[in-house]
Amino acid sequence: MNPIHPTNPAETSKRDLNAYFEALQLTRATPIVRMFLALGITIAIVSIFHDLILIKKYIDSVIVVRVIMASILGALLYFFWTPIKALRLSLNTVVLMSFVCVSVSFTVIYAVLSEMHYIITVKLSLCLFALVIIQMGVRIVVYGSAIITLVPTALFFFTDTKSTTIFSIFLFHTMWSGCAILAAHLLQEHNKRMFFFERQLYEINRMAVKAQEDESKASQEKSRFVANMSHEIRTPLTAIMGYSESLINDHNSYKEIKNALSVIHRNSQHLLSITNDVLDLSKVEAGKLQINPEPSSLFSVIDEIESLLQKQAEDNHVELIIKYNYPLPLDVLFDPLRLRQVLFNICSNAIKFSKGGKVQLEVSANDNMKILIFRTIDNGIGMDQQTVRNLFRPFAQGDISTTRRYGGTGLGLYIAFQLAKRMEGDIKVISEPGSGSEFSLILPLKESLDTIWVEDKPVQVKSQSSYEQTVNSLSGTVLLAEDQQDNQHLITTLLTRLGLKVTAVENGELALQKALSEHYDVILMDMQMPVMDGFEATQLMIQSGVKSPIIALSANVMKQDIEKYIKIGCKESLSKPIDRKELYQCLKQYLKSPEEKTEEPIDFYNTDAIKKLSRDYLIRLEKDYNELNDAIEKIEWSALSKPAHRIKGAAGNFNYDGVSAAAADIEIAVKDCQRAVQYALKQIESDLLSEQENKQA
Amino acid sequence: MNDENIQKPVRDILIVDDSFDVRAMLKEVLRMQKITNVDEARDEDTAIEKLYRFNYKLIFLDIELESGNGITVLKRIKENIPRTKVIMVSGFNTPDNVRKAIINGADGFIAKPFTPAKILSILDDLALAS
Repeated sequence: MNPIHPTNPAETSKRDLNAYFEALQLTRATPIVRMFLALGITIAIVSIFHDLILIKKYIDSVIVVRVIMASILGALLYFFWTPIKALRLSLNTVVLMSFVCVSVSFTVIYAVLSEMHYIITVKLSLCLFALVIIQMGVRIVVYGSAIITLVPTALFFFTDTKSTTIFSIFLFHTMWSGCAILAAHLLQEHNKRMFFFERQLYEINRMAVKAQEDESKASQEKSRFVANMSHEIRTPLTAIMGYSESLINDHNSYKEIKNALSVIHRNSQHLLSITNDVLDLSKVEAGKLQINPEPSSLFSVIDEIESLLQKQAEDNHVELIIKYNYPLPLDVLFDPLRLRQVLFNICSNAIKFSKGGKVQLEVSANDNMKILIFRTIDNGIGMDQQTVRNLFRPFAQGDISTTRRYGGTGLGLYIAFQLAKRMEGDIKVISEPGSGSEFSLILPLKESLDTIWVEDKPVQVKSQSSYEQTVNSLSGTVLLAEDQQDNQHLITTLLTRLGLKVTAVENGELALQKALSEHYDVILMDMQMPVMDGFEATQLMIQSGVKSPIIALSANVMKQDIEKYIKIGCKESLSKPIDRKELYQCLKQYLKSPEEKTEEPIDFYNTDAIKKLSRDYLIRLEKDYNELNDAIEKIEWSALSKPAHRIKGAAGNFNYDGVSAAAADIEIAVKDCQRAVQYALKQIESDLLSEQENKQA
Repeated sequence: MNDENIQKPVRDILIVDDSFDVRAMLKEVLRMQKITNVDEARDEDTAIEKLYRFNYKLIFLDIELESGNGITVLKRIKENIPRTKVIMVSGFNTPDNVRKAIINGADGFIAKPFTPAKILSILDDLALAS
């Protein structure tokens, strides 16, 4: 039995299912019907031989009927089975016709053999039973019953005069039909229930198979993505490691060093952008991508894109053209960071795929100035429809060979598309293989209150200052807490070059001590540190009255992390790796430039009063020193630590830093010694005890 | 110092420290800021006695006093005259010490040895500098 299933079972309604069940019932009954037809023919033929041999008396009248019956059944069988579609009879017709045929012939035959009425009723009734066995449904059984009841009755009415016999036959057939219909009904209901179970099972099975397929497809895509990512990360790392190794091992000229460093820097930036992409992707997948619209300048975003892409365009020998279709608004409400990201992705994609060609970015306001359109037109390699469709799916690039040839993680456009959607916009793509592509970013234009429309590009004051200009542009003291030595060194160098006095420590506890004993204009605090982390140190500093602005440094750039830092009192948060421009912009808010600083700090240690105090102190220092010496000779721990503690505090205050540090060392050494001696004493004590116990035993 | 509302003469600063040099140094820094209204105490008893007689705007309180403990003094001050600002001064600037001071209501913490600039920034914050 082959169950037939509709092409799309999920959409099949209950009514369709019922129709489908009936069809299925017929299909299943077909071979049995054939079998019964064949059986009917066989019986007829066997009966002919039986008549020929045994009952020769009636042979003339019976044999004709039997032959007719066998041939009609044979014809039905043929028309049911025929390969010619137009001649083929439906199952229902065949069944009903064969019923008519059988009941007529049986009735006629047994009318001839008139003594045996009752036998024929039983034989005909058995035919009904066959119908139930075939399970063709209640309807056919009802029709069959009607035929089997009415045909013999009618025939007898015309041929036979014994009315009581006709009546008894009629009654018997009616009762038998009732039983058959009831049985068929029960059977059909039961079948239907089985059928629905079967359907459900099939559905579940189909879904399971589909889920499995989806899963394996997703896992294939993920593993392809991981392979791509690994390739993407390895490529810049190869350059970084190769060049840095050559810097360490070989003797290079200044020019070579500078070149190597610029390669390392460029590749590091590329690595950072990959990391950011992956981070954005995880945000997209978690639905946490934030859009923060603020009134921003359209032109400055485009300018930034232009300057960011200039280098890539030169490397690829691409001519980058920016075209403004005026009028355009000066200030609009949008998230400049995200808009820049989307445009950067689209444009850099265009440049990547049109080596030696031309890329044009067109900015216009359309549709009654209600939407902004950024159109990127390139004359690169173009794409076919399938590729365009796959373009905004994660991990998908044209194909693997595209990735090999052009690089990229296949994340950029997906993220761009998600961002555009979050900004209530859209990205449209028109492309044909060989003739370039056109990407349009369409965003709703939200004017801020004082939006001005311009017919010409405004002259902009370039806000970005080159790094050379920032040298020695700030003054003040900075406390830097950073445990990673290379980073500490790097940031210290950056800060010193800005003209700042830097105190660097490697954990939160040291930072706390420093901040409590000295004043700093700014505190830069790494958040992940050993001993005491930046989080706790910051909290303690704020609580113990340190008012210097604290800036968090962290590799955690998730929004909730930054919010946490701000909540405990950090003024700002800078993400690692440290961008020197960002660092400068941030510090500028809290520090003055050397010119701004008007009042000279008073040098306390140079005032007469302090000098006198300091001189006086030397006498007491000598006294304390003698006390220390005495204590050392007498080996009195408590007598040692007191003057040491006193010297540590006072000498430091009078700027005798060396003396103060030495006294602090003594204090620690005393503590350590005390601890060691106590430990040793305990050891002796326990040994003594166990010795005594042994002796007693 | 039992009642904060009793009218007592107001003075600027009380320095409680057992080291003469620390006191002298602090006093000098304050003098440069034109704050001359300064009292000193070298132990717990003297400090309490001073607090009975005067109201102070700010108290520099050493934790390790030769006789007595700065934390107990801090507790008494915060119980009776909570509006007085107290800056703890200590040579043992471990996080635990800092936490203990803050829990007991200190308004600030200075670690020894301190720089004059640190004192100045504290005075700035409390608007006591000239």
